[in-house]
Amino acid sequence: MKLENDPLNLIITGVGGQGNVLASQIVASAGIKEGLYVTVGETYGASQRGGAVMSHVRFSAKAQCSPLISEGQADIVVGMEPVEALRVMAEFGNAATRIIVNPRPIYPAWVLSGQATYPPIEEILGKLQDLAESVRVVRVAHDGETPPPANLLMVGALAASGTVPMEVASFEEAMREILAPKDLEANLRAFKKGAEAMASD
Amino acid sequence: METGKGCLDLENEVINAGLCTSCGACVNVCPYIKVVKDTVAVIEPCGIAEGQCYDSCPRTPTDIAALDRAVFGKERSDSSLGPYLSIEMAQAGDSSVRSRAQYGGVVSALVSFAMDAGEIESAVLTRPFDGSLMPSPTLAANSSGVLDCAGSNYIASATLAQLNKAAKQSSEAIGVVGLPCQVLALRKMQASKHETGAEGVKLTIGLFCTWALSYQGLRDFLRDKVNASSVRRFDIPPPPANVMEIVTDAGSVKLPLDDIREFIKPTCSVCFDMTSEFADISVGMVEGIEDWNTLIVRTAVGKRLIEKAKLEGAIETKPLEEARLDHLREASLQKKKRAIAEIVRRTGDESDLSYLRLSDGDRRKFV
Amino acid sequence: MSTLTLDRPGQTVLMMGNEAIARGAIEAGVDFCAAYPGTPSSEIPESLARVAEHFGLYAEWSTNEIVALEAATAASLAGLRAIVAMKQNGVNVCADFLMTVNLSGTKGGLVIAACDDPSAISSSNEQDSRNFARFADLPLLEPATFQEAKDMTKWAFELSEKIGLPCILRSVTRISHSRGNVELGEIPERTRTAHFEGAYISGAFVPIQHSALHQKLAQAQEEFESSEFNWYAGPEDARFVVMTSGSGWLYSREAVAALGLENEVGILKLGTTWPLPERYVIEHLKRAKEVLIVEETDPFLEQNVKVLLAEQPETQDRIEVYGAKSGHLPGFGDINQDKVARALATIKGLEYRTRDEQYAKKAGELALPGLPPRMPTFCPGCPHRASLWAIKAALKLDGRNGFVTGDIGCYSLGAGPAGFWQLKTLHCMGAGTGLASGFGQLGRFGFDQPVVAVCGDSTFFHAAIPGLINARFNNSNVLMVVLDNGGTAMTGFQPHPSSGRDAVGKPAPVVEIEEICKAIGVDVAVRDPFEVDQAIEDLYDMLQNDGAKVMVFRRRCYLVEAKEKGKRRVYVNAEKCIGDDCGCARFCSRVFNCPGLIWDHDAQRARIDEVVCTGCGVCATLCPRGAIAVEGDER
Repeated sequence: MKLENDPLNLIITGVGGQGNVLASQIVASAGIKEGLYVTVGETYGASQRGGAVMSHVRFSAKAQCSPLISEGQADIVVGMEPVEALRVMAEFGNAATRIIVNPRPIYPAWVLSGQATYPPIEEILGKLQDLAESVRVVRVAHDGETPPPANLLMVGALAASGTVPMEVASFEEAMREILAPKDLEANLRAFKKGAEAMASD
Repeated sequence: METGKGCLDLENEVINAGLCTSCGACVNVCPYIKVVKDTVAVIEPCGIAEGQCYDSCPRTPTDIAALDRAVFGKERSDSSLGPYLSIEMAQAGDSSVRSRAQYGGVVSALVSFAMDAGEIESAVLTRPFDGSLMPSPTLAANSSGVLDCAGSNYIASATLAQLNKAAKQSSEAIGVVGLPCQVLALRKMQASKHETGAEGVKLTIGLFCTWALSYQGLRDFLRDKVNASSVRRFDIPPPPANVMEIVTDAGSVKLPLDDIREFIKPTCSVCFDMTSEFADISVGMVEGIEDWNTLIVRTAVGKRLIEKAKLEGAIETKPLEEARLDHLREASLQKKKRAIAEIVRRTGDESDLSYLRLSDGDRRKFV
Repeated sequence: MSTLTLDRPGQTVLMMGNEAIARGAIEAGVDFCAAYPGTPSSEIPESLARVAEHFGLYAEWSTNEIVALEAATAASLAGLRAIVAMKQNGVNVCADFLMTVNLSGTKGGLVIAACDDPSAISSSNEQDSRNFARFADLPLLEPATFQEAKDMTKWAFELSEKIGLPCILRSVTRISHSRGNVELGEIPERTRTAHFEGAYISGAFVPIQHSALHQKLAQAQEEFESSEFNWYAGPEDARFVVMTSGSGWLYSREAVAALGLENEVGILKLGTTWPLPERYVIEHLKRAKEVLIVEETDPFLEQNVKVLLAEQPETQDRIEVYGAKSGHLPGFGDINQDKVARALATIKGLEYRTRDEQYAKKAGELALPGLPPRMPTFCPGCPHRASLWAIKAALKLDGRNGFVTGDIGCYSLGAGPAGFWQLKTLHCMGAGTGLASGFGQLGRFGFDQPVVAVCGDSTFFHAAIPGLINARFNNSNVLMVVLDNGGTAMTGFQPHPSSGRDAVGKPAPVVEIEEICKAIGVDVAVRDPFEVDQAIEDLYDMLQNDGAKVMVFRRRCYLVEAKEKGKRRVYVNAEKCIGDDCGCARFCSRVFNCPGLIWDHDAQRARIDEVVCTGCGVCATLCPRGAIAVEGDER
């Protein structure tokens, strides 16, 4: 396989507890299944503790990449949380970056305690639009029930977005290998929901 | 009363100034103020400049005349004993109640009666001894719970902190038995513009009090003298005994009253109220008579209950002799004079009576 | 099927660095694994524990790192292959044994995987554990890729066995916690049986043993001269060489490429860094005029290379060495390709830019202002939040300016806003109790503040018991609060001696914390921190007593509890909630600050975030109005 951008740099960002690590693991496994070199660098020292989490996923047809993306070198940003997507763009974005974002906020402790305010969602999306080549918002109706897990939802959206070179089947195969059988069904559902949201966008 | 002040002012002016009575009023509905034993602290400022904690405190500025008007509809004519409708001697009709109680058992009898008569659903009381020197505030919903609280302990507890619990259990009609400072706080809570949890209080029975002891000092003092977990009763026999008798399962110990006085809470020496002047009904001992109480009826609510209780035999009454009434009035007056002298000593200014806001006429009577 | 058990030599899979190390051990036929969890090392023993039954190997969580190393050494002395894994601080804990087992030597292959955490992403310090290899005269290997993490681990067992010494494999966060391609090798049959003979005595004829150790190290050095883990990439006659080890290799390669210097700069990548393969290094530096040394974190390679260059004959041309000493690289924190590229660019007089300057300016101005910070906090349902609130309240009620000495675990966050700024000291495992035992002796010098030492349940077993015994023995005034959440939560909730299960998930005997305290002779009480008012009162009472005493705040990590038992629904009764008014002032979301409690700006009422909330229900007990309720548990 030959990549248009080699390496292809993807950042998946979110908040501790959202399942960033699992998301990046599935995306990377899908890449390996298609014969690519993939490196995933995680920043998750405080991942269970509400901090910002970021995974750098780098695809190359030529060699193993380092686990970190250089400043300004993100080709794709998957934001599982809108403020985190904006934070990542400040450091890693460039004019050609494509963004896929989940608009559901997770309020930081300082917002809850009133020491900081959370900007309006439309304002965040507007800024993302200003900074990126494209912004696709993954909106999912959740009919009163608990919303689907953000990580697989966003992986589904990424898989269907046409921004990464892997087939949807490789993602599903990776999920079957990585996920515990009891969790597979719910996660596949979230994945499909994300893919559908992208298709109907 | 509008004070414009909040928990940091309470901390500065009351808690840190040694004026806290640990009545529990500020703790009641507030998650920022805590009480353990008889120690109250503001754990973290709530950020609200003007709070009910300050408004309710019996040691923040209190306009006696205004409170008289709010509770009794008029200002007092008796500056020693406060407003009242009648004063008599009383005892519980049921001798088994009397035997559990310290004196005449009137408080237990009245609370039980008010419950049985449907006047109140539950009562905020204080269990005097609960396996510890420290009395524990409790919420009683029946007469056996009420009887468990018979007797007196000279340590003050945060009884009013139970009000919110009562309110949470959606009691529409609550009775409260408290010390003068607690009754004062309760009336201030009821006068507050904030929701305080005192809205449901339908009956207030006040106790007589000359002073209360601080828990920690007394505990340390008694450590090698009595087994704290088996204390049954504190008693101060009439003069000239000048002792405190502590009755435990293992017998009784008499300690010099002068030693005990060391542990009187500093706030008690600025207390203006011996007879719970803002209660519906005030109850105290009759000096020298074991099984009778002094009963002061102050409000229409109190009067109605007492009349019913007499009618149904819950309590019996007889007149209080004139000499005893004079003695009571004198004792109350002396407490006021001592308190004001002490306040002036502390403020260093005769016109600054700390938390007390008195009319000029009253002020002249006590200074 | 797990990539650890996958028996398909030649297949390429995605593996985390730590999994690759575990797979390398499996491909070496490892028999025994012992460890104490510590980020970024925990996945090595976790991976091995997961497949322990499958392969018939033994895996244990030990009470601390030195015990783990001793236990693993026993397996080695009986002829088995054994691995221990630890974070950098763990190496310090091992130091005493390390400095003697080097003299006694070992038998079966023994590998010490030391995982450093540059930038202290999840640590209380950053240290370069490679110094221990030089200190203890032990061979040192540094994997640079995921593939190498596996292959090098396998080889480390062989080397250890060959020279009769433990071998240190040093990883860093960016290797251990990153993932990448790994081509699997063969999984051998395990055939070893354990038998001990001979004697392994350190302390008999020490100078002779020490000299023998140097001989063994020389033997390792000889092996290193021809190691496949050392290589040179770039033009044969490069005058500029980047010399690197470990994580520096991938960064260096990308930095050289980013500056377009592939045709003039060579990269000498070393996998065996102590002792240095001297002939190999000199051979590849002989044409160089300038060398930039890229490594995490200390200038370890840099100093060793400088010593080596100083030993060269005077006829050799002087080589300019750049690195931490010259200021081109920091010598602290982690590194990345940008830092390496900037160093190279500075030396070469080039410009290095990662993106358009106009865009960078715009991104900074547009994205960052008004962006709320996201500080780490206690998880929703964490018992520590309630425990630290109780401690804060008890100390405030006590009124003597008491303070808390901290320790290592999730509750270390108590030094910040998540724990109401309660922890006033923070160092290493067990330090809180040791410090408190000292503070508790200072009354004779006018010290009148009560001291509370907090420590986790796992930390209690690891390192706090000696401090507690010291406090008891010397009659120190200390209140130790054990924050018992039922596991080693910080690193992924691994079991410990009071968890009732072992590393492979089987039932294990329970060592009760309170029974240990009783045996030490201190007053001990066990309370549920979710019964907040009771916890405050009992803590306050304990503070009034002299001597050493222990409060165990026991409540299982609710993230784990909810995962195992399912979530309960917690909800706010908006009619009872008084929000910003006096009597609450948003206590739940503003002060207690659990991430599951949010503030509905439109309604001006508290609300539960159903995705984040774990259903612990502690907020229901704290709400002054009874506005928060747990479904099925309404009062």
